[in-house]
Amino acid sequence: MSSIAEPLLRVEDLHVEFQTEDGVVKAVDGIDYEVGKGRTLGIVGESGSGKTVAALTTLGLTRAQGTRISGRIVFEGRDLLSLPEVELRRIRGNEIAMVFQDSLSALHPLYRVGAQIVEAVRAHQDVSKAQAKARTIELLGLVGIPDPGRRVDDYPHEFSGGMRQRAMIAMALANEPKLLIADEPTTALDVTVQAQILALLERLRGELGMGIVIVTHDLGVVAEMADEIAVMYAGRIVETAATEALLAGPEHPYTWGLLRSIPTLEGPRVEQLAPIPGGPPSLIDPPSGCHFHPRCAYAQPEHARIDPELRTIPGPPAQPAHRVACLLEADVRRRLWSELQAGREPAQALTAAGLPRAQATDGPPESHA
Amino acid sequence: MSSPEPLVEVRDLVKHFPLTRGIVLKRKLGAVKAVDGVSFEVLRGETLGIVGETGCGKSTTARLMMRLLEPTAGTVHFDGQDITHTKGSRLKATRREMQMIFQDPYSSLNPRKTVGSIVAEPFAIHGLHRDRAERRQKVRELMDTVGLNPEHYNRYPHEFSGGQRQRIGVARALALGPKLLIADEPVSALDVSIQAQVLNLLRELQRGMGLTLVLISHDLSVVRHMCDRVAVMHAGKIVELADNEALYSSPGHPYTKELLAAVPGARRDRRTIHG
Repeated sequence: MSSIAEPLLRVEDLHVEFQTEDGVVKAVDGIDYEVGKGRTLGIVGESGSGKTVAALTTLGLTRAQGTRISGRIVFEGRDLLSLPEVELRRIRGNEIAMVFQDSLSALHPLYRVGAQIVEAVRAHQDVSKAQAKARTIELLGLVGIPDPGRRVDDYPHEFSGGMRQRAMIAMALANEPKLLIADEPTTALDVTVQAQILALLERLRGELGMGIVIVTHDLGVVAEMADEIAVMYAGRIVETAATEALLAGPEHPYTWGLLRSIPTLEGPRVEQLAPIPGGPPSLIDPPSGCHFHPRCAYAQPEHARIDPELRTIPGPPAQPAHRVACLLEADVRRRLWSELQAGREPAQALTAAGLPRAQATDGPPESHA
Repeated sequence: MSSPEPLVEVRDLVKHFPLTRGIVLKRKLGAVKAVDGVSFEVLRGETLGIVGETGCGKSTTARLMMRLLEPTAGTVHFDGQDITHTKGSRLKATRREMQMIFQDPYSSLNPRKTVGSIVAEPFAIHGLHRDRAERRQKVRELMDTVGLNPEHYNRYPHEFSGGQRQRIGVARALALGPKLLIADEPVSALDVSIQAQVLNLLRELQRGMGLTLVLISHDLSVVRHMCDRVAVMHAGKIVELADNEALYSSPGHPYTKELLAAVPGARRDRRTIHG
């Protein structure tokens, strides 16, 4: 679709580590991704998979004492990680903007919504207050706030959840960013409002040609929005592909788990959902080998020792490449997935694929306090 | 399929919250009609879903059913008895029969109490199992029922993950052996992978213990997965109440259609089939 030659944003081997009392938290553990102009990348994962930290790091918002960041984040040829704070401030909110997760706490409760957007405009543009306010009203109208001329003087608490989220998006769009990072933009919202917000983002991407990174735990949202999906687990990307390819032929057992644990509106009503057993692993002391192996129904003994790399799957070349970090053989994986889709249980699928029964852990393991 | 008499019968239930101005001399300006004439029945052993958007009155309806709120008008019958105006010890006795699971497993558990004492709280309130050893044994059984390790009796809520905390909430709700369980958005604060664990648990418990379940959610796919019948609420009224299959295959009310069309992923499935 668009030129793949020079992506808008290229993240290379990004590591983010936090020093804590309990040890070093490897929140992001070596991830790579690219976002092209006018393209949407969806980053999916559970809480604690490092997806938000990866997004915040792009804007330099995780810089602090006790944080170790390495790798490269190249935005239009500049490495954001090596930029000094002063220069980063010129990019932040201007060329790269972010929509934060919780709109109620992201907006200042004591300032009028309009004033906060005016501030964002005047931080990067040399315009008068009146001009900035006119621009703000225009922006609020753009994101579908009714009667923006009057609502611009409202306080955040006078807005509904959906309207606050729209105001956040208006603020992010104030300086027509080239890249928009949206962290769970619709998580706390009702379905009808969520559909409106997603449609809005889609429309703005078309009109302004923005690149979008959408961070969410909801595969439904990215399926609707994203051109490409990266699935994160324990600080790493475990599978990445074009949206259609990933949904039609997911390769990683974790992605299978995500897809199979969501009840859907279409298709037969299954008796039992297939949850992923256990909970997210500790990032201080992640499991050995493949980080997913303690929760994986198909793990083999050697998977506890070998750490899989993210590799392109065999088959006809795709753009973007379909890559997966899994130690199972490709044909075994495909066999397993087709068995699962036929409604078989993981144990039956294993037998059908000719693998020995694994020692999958049942029930939640103990949490790391 | 169901026994003739419903477990809960709600008739023309109304709850208005007055809007007032002034502190001493309160002037009434109007009323928020949170629930505005709602009638339905909950059959024994069924799972009834109540769906709707924020502010449609679904949680208020649940609180009225539990008598946590005083209705402005209308009646609530539970197990053949009119409980609309019961008070004191009789209300307390009725409350043993109905329990609630709350949305947020982070704020609905007291952080300074151990899991053991949180789950044992209903026994303390109702003066049951006064013998310490016996109470402890009961709590361990409950923890085991909901898939928690009974050895974690002395741990605090912060030592558990979100899904496990929700299990603690379920154990507490089951302590008194209720007939009716009302789950208000039980999984909306949880990760998708964990949601399925809790939903499966609720369904197993419902089947195994013959519980009647009212599931309140804004998530239409969760409701479709769990419920026998579904009530769709909008602006304080039930706009449609139908069997699960009927509602999702041929929604009757325009609002239901609108809700169904808005669910993301509905399009995904079609995309998957074509692609």
